[in-house]
Amino acid sequence: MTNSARSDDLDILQLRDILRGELISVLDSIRGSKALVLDPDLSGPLSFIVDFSVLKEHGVEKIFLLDSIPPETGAIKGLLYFALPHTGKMRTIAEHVRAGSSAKEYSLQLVPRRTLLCERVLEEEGVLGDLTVGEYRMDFIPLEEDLLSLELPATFKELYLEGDFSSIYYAARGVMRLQGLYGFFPRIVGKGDFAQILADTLTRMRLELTSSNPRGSSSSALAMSSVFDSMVIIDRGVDMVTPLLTQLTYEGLVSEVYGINSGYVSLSSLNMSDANQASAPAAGSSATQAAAAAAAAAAPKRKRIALNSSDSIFNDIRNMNFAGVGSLLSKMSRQLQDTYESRHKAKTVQEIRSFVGKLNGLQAEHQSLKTHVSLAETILKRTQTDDFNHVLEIEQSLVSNGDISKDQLAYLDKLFALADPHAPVPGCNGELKDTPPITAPNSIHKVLRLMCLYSLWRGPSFKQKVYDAWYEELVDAFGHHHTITLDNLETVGLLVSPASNNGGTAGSTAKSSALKLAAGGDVSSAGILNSIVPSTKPRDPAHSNSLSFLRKTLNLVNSDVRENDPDDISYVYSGYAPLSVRLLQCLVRDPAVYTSPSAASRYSSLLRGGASSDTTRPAQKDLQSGGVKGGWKGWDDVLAELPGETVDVTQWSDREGDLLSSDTVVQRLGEKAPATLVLFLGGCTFTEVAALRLLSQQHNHRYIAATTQIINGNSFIDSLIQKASN
Amino acid sequence: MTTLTPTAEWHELQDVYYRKHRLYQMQWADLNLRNFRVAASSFGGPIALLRDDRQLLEAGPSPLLDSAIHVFSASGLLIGKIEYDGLHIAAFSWNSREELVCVHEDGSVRVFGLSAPGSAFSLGNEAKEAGVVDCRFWDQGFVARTADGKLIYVNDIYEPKPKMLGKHTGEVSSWTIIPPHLSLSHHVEILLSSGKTILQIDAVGTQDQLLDSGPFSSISVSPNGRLVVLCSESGRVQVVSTDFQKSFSDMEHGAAERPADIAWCGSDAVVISYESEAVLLGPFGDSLVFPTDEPMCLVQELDGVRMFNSEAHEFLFKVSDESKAVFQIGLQTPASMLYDSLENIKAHSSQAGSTIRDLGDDLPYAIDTCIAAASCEPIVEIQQALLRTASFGKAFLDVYNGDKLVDICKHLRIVNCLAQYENGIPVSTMQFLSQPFEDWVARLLNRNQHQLAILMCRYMEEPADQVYIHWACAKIRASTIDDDALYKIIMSKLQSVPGISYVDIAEVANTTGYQKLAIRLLKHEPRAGNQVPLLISMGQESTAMDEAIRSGDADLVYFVIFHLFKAMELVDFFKVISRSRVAGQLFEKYCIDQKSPVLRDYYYQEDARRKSAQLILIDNLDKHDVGELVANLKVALDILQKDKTSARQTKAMDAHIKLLKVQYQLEQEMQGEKFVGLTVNETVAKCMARGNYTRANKLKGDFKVPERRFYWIKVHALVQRRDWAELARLANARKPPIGYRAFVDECIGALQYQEAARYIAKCDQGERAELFLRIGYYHEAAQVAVAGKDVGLLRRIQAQTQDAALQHDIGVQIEQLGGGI
Repeated sequence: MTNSARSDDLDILQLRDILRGELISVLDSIRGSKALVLDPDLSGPLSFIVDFSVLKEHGVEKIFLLDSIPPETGAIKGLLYFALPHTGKMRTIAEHVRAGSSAKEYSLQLVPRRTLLCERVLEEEGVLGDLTVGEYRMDFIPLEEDLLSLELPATFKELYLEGDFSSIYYAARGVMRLQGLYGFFPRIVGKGDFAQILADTLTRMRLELTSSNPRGSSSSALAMSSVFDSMVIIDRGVDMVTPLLTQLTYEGLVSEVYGINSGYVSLSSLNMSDANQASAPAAGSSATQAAAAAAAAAAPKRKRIALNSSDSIFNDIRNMNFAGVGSLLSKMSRQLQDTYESRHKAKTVQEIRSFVGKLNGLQAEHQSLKTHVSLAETILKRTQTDDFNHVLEIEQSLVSNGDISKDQLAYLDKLFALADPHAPVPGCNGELKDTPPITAPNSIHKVLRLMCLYSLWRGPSFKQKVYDAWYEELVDAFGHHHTITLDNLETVGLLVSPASNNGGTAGSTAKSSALKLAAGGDVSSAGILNSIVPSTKPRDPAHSNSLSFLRKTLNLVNSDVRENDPDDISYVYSGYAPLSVRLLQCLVRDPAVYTSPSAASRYSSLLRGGASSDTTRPAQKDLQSGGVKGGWKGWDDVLAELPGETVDVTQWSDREGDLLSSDTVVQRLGEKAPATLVLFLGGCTFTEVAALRLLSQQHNHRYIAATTQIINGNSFIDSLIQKASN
Repeated sequence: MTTLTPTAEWHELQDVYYRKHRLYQMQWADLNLRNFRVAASSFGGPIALLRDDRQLLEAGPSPLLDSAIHVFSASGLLIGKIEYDGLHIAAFSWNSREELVCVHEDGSVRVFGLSAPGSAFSLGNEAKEAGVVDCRFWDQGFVARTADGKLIYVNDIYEPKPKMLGKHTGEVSSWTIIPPHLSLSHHVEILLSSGKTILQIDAVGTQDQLLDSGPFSSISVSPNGRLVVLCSESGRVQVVSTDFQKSFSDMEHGAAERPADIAWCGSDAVVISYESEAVLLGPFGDSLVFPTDEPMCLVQELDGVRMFNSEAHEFLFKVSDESKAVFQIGLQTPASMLYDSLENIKAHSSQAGSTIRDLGDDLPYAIDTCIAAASCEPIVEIQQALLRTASFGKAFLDVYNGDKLVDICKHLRIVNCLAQYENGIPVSTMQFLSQPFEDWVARLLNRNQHQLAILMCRYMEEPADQVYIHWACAKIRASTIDDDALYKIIMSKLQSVPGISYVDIAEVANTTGYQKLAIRLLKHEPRAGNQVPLLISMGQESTAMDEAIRSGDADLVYFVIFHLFKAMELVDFFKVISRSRVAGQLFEKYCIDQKSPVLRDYYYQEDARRKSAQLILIDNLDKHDVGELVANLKVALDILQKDKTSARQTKAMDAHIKLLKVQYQLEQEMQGEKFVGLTVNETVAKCMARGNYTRANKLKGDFKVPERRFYWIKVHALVQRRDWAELARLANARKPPIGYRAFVDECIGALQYQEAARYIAKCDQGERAELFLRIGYYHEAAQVAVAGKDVGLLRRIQAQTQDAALQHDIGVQIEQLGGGI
């Protein structure tokens, strides 16, 4: 499933070259040989930008991962740190500097931004003067030509739990860079409180840019984009259901079972006994591999495998529903075998030469095939366990009925009773030591995902008795400190305590304090951050159970899903269509959201002109042209059931600098721009990316996903979990 | 009619012509430059004069004997005066922003702007103790040499981080630097004449270039960094490559005289100024000598060298090919023919038309040449003549793109205007185009030439924001009227400039005592973020907080928070912080990350009881001493009990404390076992694992473990222990609430198929066959299938089993059940 709609002037991968150039000039700013010390959160992303050989060319002799123990750099004089602007990391670096010798030269690059906060911490620690502090502006990294990521950790928690909106600012800077390259998005639409804040920030940044550059209207950098028709911002708080579900695409499952970190999966060599060679060309020279090798002397047998579109086999299966992966892999094996066999048919010298020419590619393909067969086998075993299917059935049952059976409820008891509080969870609280166990461990992640799903779908029918029982079960099973975890989940609205649902504590206090603020301060001048309390609950829903309303209206559950030959995005969860992507389909008037009976009439009213009398399904050509056309018009009932502000901003201005109305923009967009940027604030899943790719194909339009980071259910929930030790 | 020809100023050096053009008669009358130390800025910049206290004073009245630095324009007009505090200046130089960098003997550095206040920093203790002797400068950095031979460098005077580059204690007869943008390493390098050789020093180490012709009295590196000129004390002048491997020119200057100054003219010729002559040394060892009355000060420019002394200011540069094509005597080129034909027309000569016709296809080329020649021509009349020629030639062409001609006219008008006496900025078109336009505007602003700057911006259709801002700042600084009047004056001009930034103006207003004006001006600022620091310095904290939050930049909010934290009493600080949800949350996060004890007080003051308790809990996560732990958690429990909304949390805390006590007890009872820190379930399971079922039962009661959970834990534990007797007892005591299936699953999970089989028999009829099949008990599975008359199942069993007898039996059964084919 690659993109068929491709535009030459939209080369997302050029971002990598830009980032690489900037990185190299940072490296060159330090004289002579130097050692790199990388924040573990950055090693993955950085290895995406530059490989080890380039680092070496620019004087990097050793790479370390940032750790409490200062690195042994020997005779190397220059130490160059790369770290996220987190205070904890600043303290670690400060300790290194204090412990190090004065003969060393320390410099620190904050990524993606040099903050006053970090400078203050360094100053408090008394090392600011001994350290050259700079900023390496790594914002959006092109993981694929249709996928950009800021690779930030835990943004959802920062936004909704801690009220730290730094990531919005980083995202805004990233978007500004994109707009610098491709022109301004004529229109920004979205949903969610932080989506609104991002849109506001972008508006202000644009005004600042044009006011500091008044000739803007004539300069090309500030022109309207001709490749992007708009940007769609989806706040994760609007759709918390999707990431909690078990992803059923191949890439999604690899992420669930093994964990994928910045496009790499880390495997034990045990698992890779015969596919060891496979990784060599793919992972060959990444910077982090070297870093990991240097740091993880304890586990030298681990292998990092690159999972990206340069691996043609992976590219063919990544977005497939797992149900079809096995048969395709065996078909590929047979084909490969046949190609190998063709050497016997080669008679003439030319034929032999042509075969030998193909040989290298064949071998790479062969190794890749081995890797994926081995990965798929492990996943297959996992999917065949009772446990996996119990969990899946509970998910499906909640998604399609909003309730689960008694037996399924009882299954949760077993999970609590046989809890494993120390289980490693891939991609979160620890690396897998070896092959993932056949049955997924009863980690708190697994339990909380189900609890939260239950709470979200049950809505007001979530019984106090059940919640109280679960509260105690969870604390007894995983430890008392998870009282904090549960509070966190309630705060962000993933778990809605029935008491608070009936006008109790959390929700209403938030509301009243917002009112207090609104009454007390001058809201209009203080900005949206001051005037609203960002929330994941719909502010003024017309239905008691919003999700069940949305299920019907947006056709979230598709009962005759075609897993192997998908015609609808619901294939990524074998029946459930991600709410986030359905919202995009609303914006682009995709027929998939009009097939439910209740939506048919809505559609007819939306269609302009003579077609209005015709209530049958719309002609495909009218709809599947792709791109955001009418915006949110006609979706008021849906928007009311979703949390947060509704965003609709036009950036298109005419020559005099006046913004045009959205209607005018829509008219002007008649000349079709070939792409739309879909920005997920707070993370997106591989299934959502896969769903966008399907839409790209169906609409012959490029949907480019941008996200603060790639998440799965475990990493999504992990940031909200109180860890057992400091 | 007189015909101007520039060739009078030409001097031939081998096959190349150099032109020495007189720019100005210097305006500074009766000034003896010998009494001064001189720093002149490139790009036609200002000249700074400082009384040289090493020179003896001549008796008599002298206007410039005070201790100030006097700044003159290149035409010799006094444009500024910098007072300094009498410290001995070791070295001074102009940087690329036309600010004067003064390095004092004690290692302090001051940067002076002509119209704006400057900055200051120090080179550190080592410089202070030893004393700075001398410095070498580049665009924004410099290297200082101390009396004890230390070399200290500053890469960027706007972010000064003085660093030690190296040390050379021996005698130094002269030295220079290779600036970072020219060196191979991209870091500053030093060339130092020591003894007979030259040492090359950088941050990594010292390299001896092994020369034997020293000591050298002067060293200078060419503008492209490839060549070095060395003047030995014996009077020999050599040009060599920067790596000292190749020698290019070698000239013996008669007297063993130390050059007064040295500068490169382009990258292949050098001008050396001596007491009574200036020598231009060409690339092949030949030279031109210009006699002078007194030594010339040299200023290296991009395309030549400016030379001035008390009397005159001259520009020495290479004659361009285009000028040669037009003017060189005896040379017949299309351009010179075109130039002559215009003269002919003026003289009403019939030759003109035929000349143009003769040119034919060469005409466009001739026009281009004339335009190019005009662009490097310093004399206005000749520029005009050349441009007129070009314009005249153009008329004979059907198609000619006149853009170039228009551009050149524009540039020449500006350059000529800058060069006028009263402005005194003599630049060539080439120099003008090599710098961004904003820089030229900035230079004019530096001299408070607002009118000229605005005209220039309008003429070039460039934004004039900076000019207005600078004007407003200057206005405020010089003003004595009240806030309101000043506001009106400023706004009357600035209103017409949309999007202009007010921060800098407000800042100046604030520092000059116009507080009210500052606040009013700030309201016009379009960039929310920029206002914040200023608002804070003006004491407008709450507006600052609002603006910071509005900017959407969490870091700015932190900026305000930290300021408030420092400036206020803690209690008041808490009040302010808690008033804004955004600030409060960010403050909380900072405290949690920093493990700051202040947070506890904050929660206390805010009555945030549940959070207080959580904080205690988090603080105690790593503690293992039960006594201390229990004591601390009891404090948390007390706090929670006061909070009505935390009933569940209170209950859980209570139970947790109880658990810790029980676990402590258990550790006493079972020596060597760890219990503290386990969860309730783990504690129960561990008791069972150790066979202590009574204790487990008691825990069940104490912690109200639900029956179903208890069964799960017990079944799991018993299977792990392989305590089949106890498992059987549990199964038989009563119907287990979790069903027999749980027993089966646990046994299968532990690969105990025989035990599993025992409990399969107790499971629901419908499940049994599948379960038997799963553990490979085909006989039993078949029995169940037969009993259930399930032909399909029988067939599957038949297909899976390896047992031929069983396969046969099943076949018989299927037939009997009527399922035969």
